[in-house]
Amino acid sequence: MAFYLEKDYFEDLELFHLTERVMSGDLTLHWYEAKTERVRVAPRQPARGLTYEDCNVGSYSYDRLPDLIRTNYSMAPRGAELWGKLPDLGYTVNRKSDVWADNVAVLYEEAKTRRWAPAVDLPWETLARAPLPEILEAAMAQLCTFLQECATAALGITSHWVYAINQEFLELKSYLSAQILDHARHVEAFRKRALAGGQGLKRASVCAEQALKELLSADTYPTSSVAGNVLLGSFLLELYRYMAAIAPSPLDLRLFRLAMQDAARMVAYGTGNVRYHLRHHPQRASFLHDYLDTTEHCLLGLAGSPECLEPLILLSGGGSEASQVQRGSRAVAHFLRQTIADYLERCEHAGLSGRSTRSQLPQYLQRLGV
Amino acid sequence: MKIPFPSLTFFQALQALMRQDEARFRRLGFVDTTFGIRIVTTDRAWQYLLTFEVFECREVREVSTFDLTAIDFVLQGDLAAWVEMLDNIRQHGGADVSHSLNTLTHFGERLTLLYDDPDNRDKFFRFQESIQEFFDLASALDVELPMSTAAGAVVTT
Repeated sequence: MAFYLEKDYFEDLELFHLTERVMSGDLTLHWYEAKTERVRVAPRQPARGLTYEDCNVGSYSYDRLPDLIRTNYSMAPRGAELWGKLPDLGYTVNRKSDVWADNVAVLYEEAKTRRWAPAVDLPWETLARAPLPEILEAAMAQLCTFLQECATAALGITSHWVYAINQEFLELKSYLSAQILDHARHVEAFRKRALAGGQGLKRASVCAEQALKELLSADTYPTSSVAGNVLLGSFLLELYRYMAAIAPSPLDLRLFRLAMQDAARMVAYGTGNVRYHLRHHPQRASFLHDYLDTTEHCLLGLAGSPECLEPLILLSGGGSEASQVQRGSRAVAHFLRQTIADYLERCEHAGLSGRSTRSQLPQYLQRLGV
Repeated sequence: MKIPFPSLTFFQALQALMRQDEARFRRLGFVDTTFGIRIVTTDRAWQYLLTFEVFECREVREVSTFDLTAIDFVLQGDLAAWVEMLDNIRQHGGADVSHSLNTLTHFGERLTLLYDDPDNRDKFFRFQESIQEFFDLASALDVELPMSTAAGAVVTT
């Protein structure tokens, strides 16, 4: 929906004359005595530089934010003097306890310094020097096709909320923007990896995409965050970690190790967000439990999709011979057990007590004989 | 001069190498974690506490116990596993896939991650590249490793 302001600045004589006056040297300086707090921040640790934590002072502080933002719906930065008719941007997420996590500022600074560039930080030349056997390269191309679908969904989950969140939570919005860049980097890295190996992309996954769409459609921020950052994040973290442990080439080792670091930040924010949310609203634990009761099946749609499971088995076993498939299946069973155990442990520790017994995921694995 | 492993001197040497190679670790980003290293044989254990801050390893020290509620995690393994990892690092200039810390801990047979809080344990994943490259610095050291026996055990002198 378009917004048109009350006047057209081309036709605004008042602004024209004011600009003319200022340009001729007659300054208003009305901003000079702004009713804001004067501070002088400095890095606490010179090696780290000036961080958002260093700027967490006085009226500029994120610690002093009220839980519900009632006074600023504009784009004015927190701590600035609000005056005149600032626009209402229509933010719909205005409660700190819905979005915040104690580690947000740290994760934002960490995400920036630990950034990497797939174009130059991965040893692409090693793949050309020592190509993988065709079946393994095909499996890697399929897995990378699947991982792009996952990264695209993760990007969509985060970006869907960024604009809706009140600007007062600027460190959180900044962290989510860094997370979007992480997801974009994964789309790029997995795409390039698939194309660099001689196979190109393989098949899109109906099963996984249906599951990802359900995760994308969470209608509140706390449910979207637990779905995207904790459920999907745990799956991706474990998958990257697993792939780094069985990487068939030095390129893949570095690719998945770097992707693992990014996914671990996503999970750290997600569990921090659940913990913060439940600390302020303990009664909402049952709401998140109910949501996860209906949504955890999506993890099975991801892990169980043939476009993910089969390449994983082939890469784990080292080929498509019967004995290799058997060995690969055993290794992937370990990966699935580990993924679900770690996800449930994170939920419990974040404040979703009883998740391990309430979740149907362990019984599902048992029924599978995993 | 040969640097014995396990020893405090070994970890101090890695700490010094990390400081010398600051540009490499600055490129990898902030690393903020405190974790333990536990190296065990049937009759003894060596325990070291490593504290990383910003771009450097700020402190290494030998400790008698670990308080898992006060640190992020402990990497524990048989002396034989640590020796094999360091031998691999020496041969390849850095750990290969089978001998990376991630692989050794992922399958949980050679090295184990001990922790109290999974959020703190996840720092092992968040800072994986820095931690691995810290250990990979051992390729530049003349390390005196305990002798391996035919059964894969190690003999310390």
